[in-house]
Amino acid sequence: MSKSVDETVFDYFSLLLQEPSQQSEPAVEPEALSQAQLTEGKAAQAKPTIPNKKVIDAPLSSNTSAVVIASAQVSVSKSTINRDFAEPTSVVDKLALEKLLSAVSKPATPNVDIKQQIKASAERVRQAITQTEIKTLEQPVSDRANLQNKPLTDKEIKPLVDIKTDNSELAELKEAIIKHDKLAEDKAAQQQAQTQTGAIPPSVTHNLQEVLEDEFQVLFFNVAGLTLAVPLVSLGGIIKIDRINHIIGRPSWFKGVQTHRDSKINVVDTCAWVMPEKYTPELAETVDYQYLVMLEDSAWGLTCESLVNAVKIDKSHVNWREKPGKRPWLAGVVKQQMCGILHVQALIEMLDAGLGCQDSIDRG
Amino acid sequence: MSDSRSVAAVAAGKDDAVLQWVTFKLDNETYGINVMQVQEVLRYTEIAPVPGAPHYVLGIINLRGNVVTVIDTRSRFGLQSAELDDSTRIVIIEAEKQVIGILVDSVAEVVYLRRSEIDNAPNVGTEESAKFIQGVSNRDDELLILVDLDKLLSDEEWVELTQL
Repeated sequence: MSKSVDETVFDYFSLLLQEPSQQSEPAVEPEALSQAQLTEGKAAQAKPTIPNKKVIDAPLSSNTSAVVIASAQVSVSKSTINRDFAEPTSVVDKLALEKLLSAVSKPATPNVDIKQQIKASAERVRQAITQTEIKTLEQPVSDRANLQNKPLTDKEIKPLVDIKTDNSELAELKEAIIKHDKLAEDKAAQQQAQTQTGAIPPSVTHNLQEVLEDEFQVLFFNVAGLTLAVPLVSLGGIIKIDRINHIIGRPSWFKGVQTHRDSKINVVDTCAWVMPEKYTPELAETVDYQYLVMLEDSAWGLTCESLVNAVKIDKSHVNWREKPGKRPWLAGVVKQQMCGILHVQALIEMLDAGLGCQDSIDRG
Repeated sequence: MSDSRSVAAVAAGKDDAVLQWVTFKLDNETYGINVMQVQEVLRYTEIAPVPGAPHYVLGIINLRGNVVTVIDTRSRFGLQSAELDDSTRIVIIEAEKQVIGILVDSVAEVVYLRRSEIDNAPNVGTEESAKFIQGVSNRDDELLILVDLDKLLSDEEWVELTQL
């Protein structure tokens, strides 16, 4: 491509402005749009293949706005109709077209500098072309077929001015515009990224929710008056607490290691881990741990005082945590029992890293 | 083919060497230290305190004419101090080219462990004492905590001991 986008658009409008009757036209960009799109439409008619994957992926439901925009592609403005070189047809819905054009066109103000008008028009055309193209891509296949089936004639798609623009040039122009817009979008995205602390994933418990069925079983267990729930799919087993070997130099929540058959279980003082601020020596004396709730197939076991029950609950009965917070180990809250449900994978990750319940996981 | 297998088996056998550990008790837990570092085990004897010595030094003893510094192992491990009794022992060890004594509750036995039977200790410790533990082993449903004597003291502390 030898010219820049703006230069090409400026040239285009310079040619348009050379037409004496166009000087007074309030809006010239729809003509350009129509011309550009109709040229493309012609090409599409000649080769009615689906241009890219986006079209394939687009929903087949009807899209009113897309149809309206598409109408604009095949329509000619009212003012243009009166000209000699563009003949109106019965297919064109003038009223709808005017309504459509009112959104993007403004009446010309005589005080405004002609250069500014050209510049503004060029910008509008550029936006309109990009927007129309996006709409066209999103347009359902059926609508596109209908559009192509419209009885367009050579007269309707006859260019308003004689510009030597073939399809390849138009494609280049559009490509350049899209490229320019993409660069602008990237730049905007970069600026946004600079102002934000970090992207928020759609749901931090997404993995867990994928694993769980709509109805799933959870085990409720008690620790110092606190009830916690663990999904059975994440439960590695329940082991009676036997002898726990204290390992020196470990955090206070690390109760020690219990041997079980040939394996070694890392025992977590659940109360000390979950609520360290409330775990006073007095409370520690009253807590009577009985069982170890094993986390998946890891070596970690949570101490608990009693096992309540295992019940089947619906996914919708859990208020799932959507945003990352200080407690990644907490997947959400079971609404009926009003107790926390554990995100076992996150919990294992934290324990492996030797983190306390309020420490943040540094995934970087 | 069979030769290569046998070579591999020998290599695996070498990797899975049998090590001997002297076990001792401290606060109801069983610890093991490499037998090669143990010189002898003494009944408790009078320990002469050394003024100005670090807090982890109990004092010195006279071992056949040689002065040996005795470390307060409980203190070093962050454990509560306990009363001395008939089971209390001083284990004379050699570490970092120094001979020192460590005070323990009791000495149990010498156990044989394959290298493959030793697991890493849970890596969640942030305290200084966490680095003493070189591994754990499950033996007869009892956990044996293996201590790396060379790391019992830091480099500075080993130097400090020589200047007592």
